[in-house]
Amino acid sequence: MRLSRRTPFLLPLAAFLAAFPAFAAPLTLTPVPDAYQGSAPSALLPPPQEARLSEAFLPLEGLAARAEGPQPELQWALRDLSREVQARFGRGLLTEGARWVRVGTLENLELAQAARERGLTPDKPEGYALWVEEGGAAVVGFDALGAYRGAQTLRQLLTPQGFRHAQVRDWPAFGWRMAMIYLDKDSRAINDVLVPLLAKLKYSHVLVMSDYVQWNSSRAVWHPSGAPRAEAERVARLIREHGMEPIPLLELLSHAQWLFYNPQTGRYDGNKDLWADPEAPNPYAYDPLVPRVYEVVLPILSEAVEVFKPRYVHVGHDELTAQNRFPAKPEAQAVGLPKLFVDDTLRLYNHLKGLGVGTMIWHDVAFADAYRDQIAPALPKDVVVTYWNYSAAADYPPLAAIRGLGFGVLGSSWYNPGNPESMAQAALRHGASGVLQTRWSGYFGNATMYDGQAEQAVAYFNAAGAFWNPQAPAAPDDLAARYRHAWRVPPFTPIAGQLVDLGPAVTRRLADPDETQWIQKGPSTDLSALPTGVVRLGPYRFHVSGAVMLKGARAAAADLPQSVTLELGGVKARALAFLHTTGWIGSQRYERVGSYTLTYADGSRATLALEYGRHLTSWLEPQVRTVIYEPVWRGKTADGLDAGLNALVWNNPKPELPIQSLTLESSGAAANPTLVGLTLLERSPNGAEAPR
Amino acid sequence: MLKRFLTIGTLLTLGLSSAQQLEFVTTSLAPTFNDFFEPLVARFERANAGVKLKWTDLPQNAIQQKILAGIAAGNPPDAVQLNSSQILELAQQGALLPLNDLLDAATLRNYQKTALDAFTYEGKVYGLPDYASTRIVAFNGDILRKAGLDPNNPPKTIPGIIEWARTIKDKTGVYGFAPLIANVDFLKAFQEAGLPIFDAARKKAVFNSPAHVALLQQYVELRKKDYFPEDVMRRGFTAAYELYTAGKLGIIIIGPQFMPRLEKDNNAVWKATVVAPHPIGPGQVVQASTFAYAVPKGVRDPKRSAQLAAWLTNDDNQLAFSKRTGTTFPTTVKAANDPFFRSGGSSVNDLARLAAAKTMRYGRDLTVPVPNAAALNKAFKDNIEAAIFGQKSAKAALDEIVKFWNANL
Repeated sequence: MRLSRRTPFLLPLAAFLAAFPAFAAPLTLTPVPDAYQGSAPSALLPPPQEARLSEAFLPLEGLAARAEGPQPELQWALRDLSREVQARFGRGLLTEGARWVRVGTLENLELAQAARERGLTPDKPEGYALWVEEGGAAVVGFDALGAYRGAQTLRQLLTPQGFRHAQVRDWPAFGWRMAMIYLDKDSRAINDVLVPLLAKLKYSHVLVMSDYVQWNSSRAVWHPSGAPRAEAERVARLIREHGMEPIPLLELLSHAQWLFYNPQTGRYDGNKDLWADPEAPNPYAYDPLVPRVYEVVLPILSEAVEVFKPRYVHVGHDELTAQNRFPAKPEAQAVGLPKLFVDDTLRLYNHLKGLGVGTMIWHDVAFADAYRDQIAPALPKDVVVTYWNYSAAADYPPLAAIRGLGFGVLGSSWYNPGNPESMAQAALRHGASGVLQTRWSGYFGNATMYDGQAEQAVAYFNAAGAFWNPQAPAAPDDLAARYRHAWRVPPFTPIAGQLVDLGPAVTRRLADPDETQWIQKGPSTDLSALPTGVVRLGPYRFHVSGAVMLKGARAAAADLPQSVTLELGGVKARALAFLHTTGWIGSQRYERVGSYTLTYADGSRATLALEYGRHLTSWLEPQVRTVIYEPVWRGKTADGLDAGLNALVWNNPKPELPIQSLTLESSGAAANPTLVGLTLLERSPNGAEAPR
Repeated sequence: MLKRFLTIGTLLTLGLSSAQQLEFVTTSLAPTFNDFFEPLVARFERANAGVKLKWTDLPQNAIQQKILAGIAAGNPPDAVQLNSSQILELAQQGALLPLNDLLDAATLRNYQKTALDAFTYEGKVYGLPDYASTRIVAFNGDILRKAGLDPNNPPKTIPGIIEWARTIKDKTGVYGFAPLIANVDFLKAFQEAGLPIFDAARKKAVFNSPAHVALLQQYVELRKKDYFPEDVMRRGFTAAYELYTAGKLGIIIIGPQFMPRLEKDNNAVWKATVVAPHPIGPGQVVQASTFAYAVPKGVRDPKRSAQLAAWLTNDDNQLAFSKRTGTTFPTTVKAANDPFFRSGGSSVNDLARLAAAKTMRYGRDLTVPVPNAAALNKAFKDNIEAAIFGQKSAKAALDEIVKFWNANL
């Protein structure tokens, strides 16, 4: 270890050596041809109803693909397959070859016969048969959408050796498998990833939060962060061309702040005559007794129908009393909440019905214990109710109660562990029409699906599995990695590199038998479950010898060095992969907790600031909120706590220069940087640096 | 005359020059209390010529964002009224200034120690308590009578209330009660029941003992048999109040300040309501929600902002505010002893205040300050919900939380 500027100079020699073991010689580097190697996902998701997989493979050499029918869904299937191969191998599928991937439906008699011979004939809407054999592969849909869904399974059978041999017969448990997305200023960058991902996960419908769309009929409330109408049209088309149906969500009656935005002031002080509570500091609901409400709202509904061409529009109507008073004005109080709710819902329902479109609402006001007796009987029975409960539960009896009152109902979940799974099981049990995976990431929060709230998008995976096949075993534990791979598809071609043995620099061992190592909480709370030596974690290989843990605010980290410099001996690399964490949880997201600084042979430097939650996180916070780092190991402590480590790839800003050393520095916060593995890569698996 | 002199004297210590503006933010007090705050602002401006005092009121769920955005933009408000959870969370994020260094010890001694403790983290005071409100129990007399229960002889213990709640549901079909156990409120239930959160050294969480498990299990069983609505796990007090207001809840644990609102929201239910002090359990404490003024990091003049917070929470202003609400209590030593809080009429609203006053000496803000509060509280909430909704046993849930807390404390 080299002295850093922050190292105290007057330490007694023994203490100094104990705290700062010297290792000026370069660390040992081990060259390997496959320091990075992408692989196929661990299991098919959603899990098929019936599947047999083998360890044989259909190589890509000489393999071509064709659609066996005119339906657009078949072309979409070929498009998605080709993109998968392109991303993994850098080339697309052939259009002519010795062996074929055939995609069609039962309308193709030859394919129907082949499916029958294999005992795989699909017999339900969206169902499909799939087989991969030595002579080729086929996807045969019960209908065209079934063929499209089957192609998404075939994509997941792609491995570095080719398509894995398989026989699959599959169908969905629910016809409605809906996921929620948002339209805002970042819609294109985010939804161009999310919509194809939702298709890959076999969702059937997409609920599109559309409050702040800049409709032609809503110019008076245009918000600068809202999506242009053209973007709404584009996303609606994108959804349809990925085999799904769009359902716009326009929050009306309650959560209606968007109707009160004033572009002139930049505040929510517009349309004051529509406010339900004129004295409220922040408007929230509109007053259904004001006739002009419908002069504003109904044209927007008409325009949303024109843009999305949906079968339903979701009009919100939830959490009516969550903010401000409702009813607030004396005349509204005289009418009462139940009648105001019913009258408004009917007004919107009748307008939509006139356009040939159905109405959806949330359940929590209409079916609240306080109002159910007055509201529910007054609503038309073809209003579809989305029941929400965001806790995992053994059962959700209101699903049965709402259905018992004669309404179609969808069960809605969020990202809490187990919530989508238990909701899907209850929905199946109670005969619900389907399920909805919600996302509540802020009206202008699309960018947080990349960095900030990615855990909500990871839940699309759990939900997809549960919605398609609620009886299947628990989802695999690599969902966060899979979500990241939607943004950065891991190539199947290996990347060579050098594994750095951090052994001489280790300041804490991973195992802590006597409360002197790791975070000094003893063997029940250490990292001994992490495999050591030369190991593959996710797509990366690391040489794990212990931890270079730095100083932090906690007493157990007070005697650790503030900085450590690792001599790398003038090696060149295109990228550096860090297997790292912090000993303790950070108190503030994006707090700068330290840095990595490369010193090149010519004396120049490059520094990467480490921000908590963005570049690294505590080993006891395995939930992933960003795709900037990659979850590569998940395990448990001896007493059963979930633990995890992540890898961060830093593209070397000066790959042409030899790297002399890497300096790790801590800011001294509670979350103290801790390096567990370091691998130098000859090529970056990340492409360009992550956007912010 | 002496009172007026003292008030002006306090103001003058702010040392403000002309052409300045100060801003303070309150939590969900407008428009109900405009008639208190507008004169307060005017009084301040009269005493500090040329200084503008801006009052902003925000919903509780918007206020933290306002502070963080203000800090990021370099113009945070000078004093912000928050509850203890919010203050502790922001203090841990480094978003608030410790007030010990900005105010003299005599000023801090004006406040009741138990109130000040709720805003003290690692020895530093991050908020000056403004007002407190403890809970009472309100009963819908009509529902009680239908269930064969005597409104004039309410239970004096929490187990007694639970027993009544069962009877109400069994005999009338409407929910008997709606326990406040959402989010991290079960930590308060433990303390009220006399069950410890930490060991004596406050180094380790210990709320997974058989007694803790038994208490949680009691509520698991109640939920399983539908003795309280699932909605309270999702919407907490809002759901409880909504049901009570609709005449569909027999018993509600409630702050006395809600009685005037109930009077307007459903006069018939208000008229049928009888109130009683919140039972004092083995813990000899009862939750008292306390609000305080904090000073965000990045204010132009920290001392001046701290002095503004001290002025907003001084004896006179606290006393005046609590007299205006009629149902909250001051947190300064002097104002809390005002005879107003032990006298009153016979309306439900007056009786509610008197019921609260009877237990105020047991009132504590039972928020548990922990490092990394956001992560620890989420682990608590998720596991309690998993137990209540039958996803894991009460013991497994509490074991899981305690393990996580102890790994991160």
